Amino acid sequence: MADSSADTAAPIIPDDFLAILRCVNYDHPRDDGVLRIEGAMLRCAVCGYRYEVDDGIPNMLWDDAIPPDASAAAS
Amino acid sequence: MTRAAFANRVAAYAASPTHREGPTLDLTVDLAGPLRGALALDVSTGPGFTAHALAAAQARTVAADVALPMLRHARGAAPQRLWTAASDTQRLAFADGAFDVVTCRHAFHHYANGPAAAAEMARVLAPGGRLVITDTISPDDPAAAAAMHVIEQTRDPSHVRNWTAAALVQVVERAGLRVERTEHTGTAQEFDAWCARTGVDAAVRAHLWRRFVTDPAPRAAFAARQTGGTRRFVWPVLVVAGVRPA
Repeated sequence: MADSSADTAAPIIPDDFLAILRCVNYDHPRDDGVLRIEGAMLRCAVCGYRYEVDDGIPNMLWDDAIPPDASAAAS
Repeated sequence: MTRAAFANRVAAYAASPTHREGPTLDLTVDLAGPLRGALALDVSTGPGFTAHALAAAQARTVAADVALPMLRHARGAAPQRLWTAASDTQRLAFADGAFDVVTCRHAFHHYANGPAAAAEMARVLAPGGRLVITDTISPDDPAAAAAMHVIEQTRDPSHVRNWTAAALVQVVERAGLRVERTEHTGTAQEFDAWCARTGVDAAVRAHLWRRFVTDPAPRAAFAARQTGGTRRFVWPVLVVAGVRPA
């Protein structure tokens, strides 16, 4: 009966989709901006900018990207 | 402007025959080349008709657009093999060389910086990958082009510019791609439905139609005519396929 969803839940986006997504910050080469899943968001491994994933749709628009030092709620 | 405009046009674009079907869709898929097993990106996907066609041809397909409501619609009607991402074509959020195929159908005229968009589409293509741009084109006759530009920007403020066929081919070449094939076709429009898609009211519609048919240059270039109670025209379309050198 126990739900171990913390370990077994499907990722917010598939791994092979995540592998081709990149951060769009002009401060680093596009191809360097590999993203990692962080909670319900994607975080750039280089600059720390975060991108929301809305019901499985990553929002990769720069205008909506969340700076490393900002909270998601304040963005 | 464009992002907000398209967020409010989901229903109109989803019902648009121009976007849903026809020779421009068939040619786009044809010029995309072998699709089975390919990884494809359809930029500015709108309601997703082109992305769906690519996926139906067995390509794993990413549908991208700046408008999340469009993407939700595209995904809602999606076959298998479709991913969606909010992404600006002039600043694509994808890895270099990620895709075997990139398509851009009925969208290039919306880009503020067409060459930047083409460069981005070329960047995400793998060596040997193929870009297909399908778009309405500007007539070579400057008078017809100028008249239509005014008509189109009045109808749709998100419109930026149409390119002539030669200029669009040049944009693809300058993005570093080898132009492999071009096809000319056209998209037949019912003028009133075309105006309704962007919410143009009756008074403006009547003004635009008068402009269309009293000026001989656009009337001839776009075959504008009224048959029965229906006002029609045909917009020439270019489909251009470019290949990234291996």
